[in-house]
Formats: sequence, C-alpha cells, structure tokens
Amino acid sequence: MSPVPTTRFDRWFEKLSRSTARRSSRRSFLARCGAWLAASSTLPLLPVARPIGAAEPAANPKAPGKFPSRFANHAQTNDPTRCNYWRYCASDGYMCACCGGGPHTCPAGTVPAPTSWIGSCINPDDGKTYLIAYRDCCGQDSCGRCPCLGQEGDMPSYRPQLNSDIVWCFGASSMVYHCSSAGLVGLAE
Amino acid sequence: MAGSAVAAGQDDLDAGAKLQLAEPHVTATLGPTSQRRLYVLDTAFPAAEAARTYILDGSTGALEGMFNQAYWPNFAVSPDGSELYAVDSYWEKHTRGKRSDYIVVRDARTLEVKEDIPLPAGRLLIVSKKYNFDVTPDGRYGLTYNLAPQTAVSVTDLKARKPVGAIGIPGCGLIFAQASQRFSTLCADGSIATVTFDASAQASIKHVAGVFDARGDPAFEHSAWDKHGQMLYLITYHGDVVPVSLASDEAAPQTKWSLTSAAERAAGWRPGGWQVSHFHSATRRLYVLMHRGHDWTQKSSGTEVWEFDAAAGKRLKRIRLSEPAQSLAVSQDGDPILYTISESERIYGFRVDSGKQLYRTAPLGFTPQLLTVWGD
Repeated sequence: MSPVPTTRFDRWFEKLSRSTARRSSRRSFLARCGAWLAASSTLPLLPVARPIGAAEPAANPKAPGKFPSRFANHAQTNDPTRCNYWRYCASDGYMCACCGGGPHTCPAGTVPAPTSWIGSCINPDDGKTYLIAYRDCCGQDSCGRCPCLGQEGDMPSYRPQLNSDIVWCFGASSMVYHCSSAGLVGLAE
Repeated sequence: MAGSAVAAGQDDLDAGAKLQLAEPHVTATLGPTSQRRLYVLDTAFPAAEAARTYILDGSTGALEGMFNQAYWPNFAVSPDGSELYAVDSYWEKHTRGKRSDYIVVRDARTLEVKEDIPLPAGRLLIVSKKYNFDVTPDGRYGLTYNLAPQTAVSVTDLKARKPVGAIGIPGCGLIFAQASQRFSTLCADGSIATVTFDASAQASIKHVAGVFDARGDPAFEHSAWDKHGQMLYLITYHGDVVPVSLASDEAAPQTKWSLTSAAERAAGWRPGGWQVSHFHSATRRLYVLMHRGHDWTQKSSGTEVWEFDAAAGKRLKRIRLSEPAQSLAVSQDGDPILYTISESERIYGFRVDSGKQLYRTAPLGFTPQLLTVWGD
C-alpha cells in the first residue's frame, strides 16, 4: 500500500546492535524477544531482515517525482532539525537533533535503547538507499521539540515490529522515551 | 441610639445589600454519570508524565473536572457508570526507580481513588490506544494488553480488586471484550482470535483466518466496536469496512463494503486520524474521519466526518469540519452529539441530526487524544 516499494520503509527488529556495546541485560532481552517472535508464527521471520522487494504489497506503487518515495522526493540532507531530513523517512517522535543530540547521538542524560528498528531511506544526493537504525533515546521525559510524524510503513500495533507508537526502550535502563535518533547502518544495495 | 434599638439579628439594610461574611469552602461533586458526559484523555505528548483525563459536559463543552494519569495511560468507565478506571504506569522517583503499574479505580462522582489494583505483569507502553484496555460488559473484568516481550492480556477482577492472571495471545493485539469471560483480538496474519477464559484466567482460543488483509490493507486500531450489538466494524487504511460479528466464541466476518465510491476513492478520499471511527449503537450508525490524501496518510487529520448506515453499508451524511480533527466520538443517547478533537487541541461538539456545530472549547491541555463516552 505504499507509494514506494514498501521494503524501503520496513523496519526490522535488529538482531544484533551494530554500533552499541551491549550489556548482558540487553542480550537477555533480545533472547526473550526471540522467544516472542518464535512464539508468533504469524509474524515475519524477524529479526532476520527480509530481502528487498519481498514485503508489503503496494496498493499505489506510483509516486510522483524522481524517486519511488514521496518522502525522498521532498527530502534534504543538510538540516537534521527538520522533519524532511532524508534519514527520517520512517521516523516518528521528537528528533534528537533538536534536543541536544544528533541523528546518531543521544542527548546528555539519556541512553540509547539497545534495540532499534532498521529502515531504509533514499539519500536524494546520490540516489542510493541506506539502512537506518531508528533508536529511541531513553531516560528523560519527552524532549518536546521537533515532533515529526513519519507515516510511511507504519503499521498497527498488532504488527508490533512495524509500529512506531510503541516505546522502544526495551532493555534500556529506563522505559521513559525522550527522543528518536536515526543512525546510519550501511548501504541497502 | 435611645429608642432605636435594633433587635438582635436585625438591621436596617435591605436584604439584597447584605454580604455573607463567611462562606464554607467546599469541593464539588459531579452529577451522576450521563450519556452526555465526555472524558478526554490528554496524553501530554511533549511532557508525557503529565497525562490526565478531563471531564466535560458534552452538551456544552464546559469543563467539570480532571484527574492526573500516568505514563501513556488508558481509561474506561464502568458499565454501570459508578467507577472510572485509569490504567497507569509509575516510577517511584518520577522517571526513575522501580516501576509499578495499576488499574486505579475512582469514584465517578467524587473522583476519589477507591483502589490501586496492581498489574504485576506490567503493560505495554505505547501512545495510548483505546482498545489496549477494555472492561467486560458485566463490569467484572478489566483486560489490559501487554508485550513483555510475549503478547498477552492481563486479566483483573475489578469486583474483587485483584489480578487474576495473564493469557498469551501470540501474534495478536488489541482487546474487544464482548462477554463476561470472552474477548477478541486482531492478529498480524489478518485473523481474529477469540479468547474464552475462566475465573483463573485459563483460556481457550479460536482463530478465524483471513478476516482482513493485515499486510496490504490493515485495519485501524480504532476501528468501530459496537459492544452492545457485538459487531466489530474493521475500517481499513484504504477505506473498506469489514463487519465482523463477535457474538459467539468464534468471529464471523460478513460481506465487506467500502466507505467510498470509485470516484471518491480515485479523488483520494480515505479514512485517517487517531481515533478514526466510532459507532452509535441504537441507530447502528458508523462515523468515520475522512480526508483527501494518498497512501501512508492514515494518521492525517480528517476534514470531514462521514455518517453511514452500517447495516446497509450506505452513507447518510457528510459533515464538513471547520477545523481538521484527529479523533471523534458520538454520545450514545437518543439525540447524539458528535465530538471531535481538533488539531488546535480544541473539543468541538456537533448535533448529529443536523451536522450543526454547537460549540468549540478553548484549547484543552497539551495533546488531547482519546475520547470516551459512557455506554459505548
């Protein structure tokens, strides 16, 4: 139902945190989460990432513009304090860049969640698709600045692995959400 | 003063010129719960620890009271209208320390706390969705959704004021309680699971597959639930309606129909918002927030409310909103009022019969998000 191949906006539950040193409690959580996923035969085979092109069917695959993503066609790469910053194609919440942090930096007083979603966004400068780790920063109440509502790929909470309304601070030292970050993971192609 | 003595308790002032020199300072009590009372859950997005529920006179929009809630809460009214249930999560040092989760029971008229019933298994913290908490029609059980990380429903005995247990619902979410010991839930594969449980939360589950297309055209979380008619009207992202009878221990889907004509769909009309639909049980009418947009605008505000005869699958009316709205609800009385929460955080009231706007309030709280009426 996406105007783009929906895999570009799929957020996969990251099996292994690629950039954050993990404590045993985090591993414990991931192990338990694996149990949850295993218990749910109806869910995709997460946390294994699905191949590009194999996810949600597109109800309206056409999007006007240069790229097959409405978001990418209006995105910019210079200002992470604006909602159309290219990495935020599937982000939802208060952007950490407006809160004393940055796209891959949690503000002082908060900690990055050990778990994250993986999305993929098109960089309009080079036209390439990059994997993005959407990671909540946790430990203080809502930052309250730069609210951005990314809707592309957002699914209802009975599909939790694709829902952006959940407080994804599982395994962190605090379950209190502060802001949303969007760190680069690598090229998707 | 000789000869002009004033008798005790008397003076020469006109009665209307007297001021009461001392008055008692009292606390108001709300009137009995009515179908026109409106509860507005403010999730306080930019300061989420400051969530609260406001209580309004739905006939006028006047504020009658409020009480604090906690982190990403839920709310419901008891079926008999005597109690209010707040599902809250607290940390002992505001945002730090040991976490505790409760169903907080309040008297519906004094708002005094009668009981804090613990939720020992916790609850899912998520931007508040109405059907992550439901009360069985007889008022006996409160059902709360959890993901920790298994998806489960915690059962609380609201009469005995104690937790009963938890029921695993793998791959499913949301709660639609249709009988004293039965609820249904939507599943990630497009099935509906109906759970029948006993007094110790032992459960049996029946799945009905293929009710809706959870991958290609998922149903809104705030689809319309007619608890009295035991009908769930699934509203899909694209604008279809899948009626499902939940009158037995197995979901029974009925023929799908569309909110829009082919021309309207081509013009971009589709449902969207947060609390995107609601139902008036007595007239079996369905109300949906609609806007013109494209795919992935399922959370965009509605510019109109469309009214449907749910039995016939026929639209009856379009109500154009003076301000786009995120949420809506309809009072359940015989002369219903349609309520909306606007993008400027105001509550609007409209007469359903004429579509005429009755009032709009001043901005209410931080981010009013969910509306609850008694008897829905």
